[in-house]
Amino acid sequence: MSNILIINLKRFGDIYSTAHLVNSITTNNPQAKISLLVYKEFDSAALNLSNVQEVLTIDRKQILTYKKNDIFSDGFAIDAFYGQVQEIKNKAWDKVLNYSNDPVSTYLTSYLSNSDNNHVGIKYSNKLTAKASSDWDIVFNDVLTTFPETPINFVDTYHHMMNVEKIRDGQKLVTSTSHNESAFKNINFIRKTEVKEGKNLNIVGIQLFTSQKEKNIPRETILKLVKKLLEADEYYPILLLAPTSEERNYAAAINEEFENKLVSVEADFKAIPSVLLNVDLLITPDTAVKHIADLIDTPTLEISLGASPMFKQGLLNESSLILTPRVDTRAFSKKDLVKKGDSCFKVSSKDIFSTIEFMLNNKSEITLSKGLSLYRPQLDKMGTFYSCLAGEYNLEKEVRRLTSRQVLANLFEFDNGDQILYKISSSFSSEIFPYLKEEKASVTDATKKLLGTLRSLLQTNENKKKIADFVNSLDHLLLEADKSSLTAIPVLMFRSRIEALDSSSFEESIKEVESLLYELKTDIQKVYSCIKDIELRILDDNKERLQERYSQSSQVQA
Amino acid sequence: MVHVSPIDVHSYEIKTAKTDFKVPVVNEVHLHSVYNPIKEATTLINKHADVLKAKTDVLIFGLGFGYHVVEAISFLKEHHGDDFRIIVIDPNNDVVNDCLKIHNFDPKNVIIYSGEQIESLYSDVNLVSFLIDKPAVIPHPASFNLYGDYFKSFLTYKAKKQTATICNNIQSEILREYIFTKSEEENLELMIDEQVQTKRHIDNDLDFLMLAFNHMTKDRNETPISGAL
Repeated sequence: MSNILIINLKRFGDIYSTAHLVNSITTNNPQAKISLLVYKEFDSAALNLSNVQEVLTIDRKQILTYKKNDIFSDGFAIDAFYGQVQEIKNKAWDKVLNYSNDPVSTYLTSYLSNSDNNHVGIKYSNKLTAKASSDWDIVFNDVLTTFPETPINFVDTYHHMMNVEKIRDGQKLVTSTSHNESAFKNINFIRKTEVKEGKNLNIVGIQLFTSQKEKNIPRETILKLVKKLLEADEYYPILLLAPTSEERNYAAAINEEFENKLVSVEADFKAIPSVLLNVDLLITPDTAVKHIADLIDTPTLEISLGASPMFKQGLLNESSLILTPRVDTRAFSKKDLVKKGDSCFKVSSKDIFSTIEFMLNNKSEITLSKGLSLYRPQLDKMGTFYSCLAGEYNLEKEVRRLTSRQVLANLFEFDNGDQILYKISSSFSSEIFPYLKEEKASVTDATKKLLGTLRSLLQTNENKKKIADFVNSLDHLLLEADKSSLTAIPVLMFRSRIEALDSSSFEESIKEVESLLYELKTDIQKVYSCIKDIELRILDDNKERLQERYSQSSQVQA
Repeated sequence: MVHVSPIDVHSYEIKTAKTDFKVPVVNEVHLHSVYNPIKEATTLINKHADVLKAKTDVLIFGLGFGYHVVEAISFLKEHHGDDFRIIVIDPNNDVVNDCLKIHNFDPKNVIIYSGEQIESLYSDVNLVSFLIDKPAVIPHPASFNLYGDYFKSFLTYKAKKQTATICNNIQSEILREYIFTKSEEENLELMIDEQVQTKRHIDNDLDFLMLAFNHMTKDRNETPISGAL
């Protein structure tokens, strides 16, 4: 039996995405007992996850009220916190997973994990250095936070961190029979009454609200989209909202534009899965509802706006799609959004409607406005990656994102199959050779710096005065981690390992650094092999295409 | 043990209202109507009807002889059944004791804090956890005016921040001992910043807990998964 504690101190959507990992763990190991630690204000999401034995909470609001309010002694705050955490500490955990990877969850993991071997993800050592349980933790903590592209999404990374095979099937959410019956009855009624003769009617749910206004689909876009859907015989829109006065007012304002004839479905977290099970397609910005739809395999079109971390936390269902302004023109985090501002390219109702037609009506062409892209989740052996299905893209960014995934597979000696190489060679041709050439130059550069560092390290054995040179060389090598080239990935991992070194003597440190440098050398060579593989694959595919074309034209002549 | 009264009382007598109900008179101030204390109590509670319909926790400043508390109980029972709590704060022990000879309040629903110093009230964990749930507040006008300084002190109270003092409000012995050993700091935040955050080596697991607490109470914005730790 395995008692596993997953610490997730993030918001509703992030808590829902935990369900993928919970499902995989309990399917692979039915004896596993999973407990989820969340902030109490978000426990309504956690309580809806299947296969979670216990939802444990920290009442952050209570503790903050004690702490921030001058009338209450800070003693109450720290005592309440201690009491709530101590209840958790008193249980015996076989594994503590630092899922949310923020400072609070990391310190809690350090406090709750009672040995060096029972944590997953980063915790702090007694010397307050970040301690990873595996190299996948380093990918999560260092590569995904720093490298400009996203080679792998969070859900897949968690699976690799836990060393558990991802299982797609299974009931990941708790639903209620009464909600299911009610949703089916009501939506079926709409189907029967609104269907036109000889036509198939698709119910399209439109999620109106997110917690951040920059992520919302603009009101005008929703109005025009609803109008288009109503005018088409094959679709019927329903508005989806949470039971709050703000959302009710917004839905009412939209409905007023249609003489109050629209159907609005108000559903809390308990009921919304039942509603989503009965729609044919969900249109949504980046919200918790998107994650719920993903868990119950409802096809979804995500409109990714504002600071939505599309590649890190995008949809996983292969029947879903993600519509976004071109990725090189937009931000993916709040910090970047403040720095860069929003993309100048806007998603219109025409773009959404064209995509709906493609998804539901088998239309073969998608017409998108300038500066937009449509991504599809696809599977490979490492998990889910995103490929551009239509629209514009920045060639270098696109290729770097896909090749960085292949680099990751190579670094972990993971047999990732052929999908990425096929994707790159089928989507791009020799136009990417200049980019690959630059990457090879970066490899050469990094290798030179690495060999220089090794040389100066070996010289410190003979002459301790050479330490300054060695440190200098090492600093130069570590600067490679800040570049946007593929070599940054192994250097980021190397940097993390260096920072975590815990040697008791100078001589021991030197030995460990030397060993890490040789590992890095091997890893950089793997990056080079990856680049070569892509080049060769493109050349081979080009050769095949040319031969095919030649043989076709020979046949014609004959 | 000598109990120091938090208020200054120089006279106390009990009179009878026109409707035969008893009325305490403290420092020559009648705490209820000498004509019809029940009607006065009903009027008071009706004035707060909206908030009493919305909330099940009620904080009453001043007990007197409790007629308004009886009315409040009746109102709350009607709207919330048995699911309500009333806490009454009154600085005058003598009046409270006499009130309890007249009324038998169910301790399941009504708790009275009588003759307590302000600091002692704010050290009571049950009262404090009641207060953070934001109860409805009903001042009994006559009591509130008579004991104005007392209730003003209650409403403007500021808890002491010194680490040695906050230990008085910590139930856990282990935690109390841990913080007390670092008690020279001005406050908890400073203690964590100066004595825990600066450590090069963690020698007590509670250090991790302090650091978690510090981040949780300082970082009010949601921290996305970002920034290598």
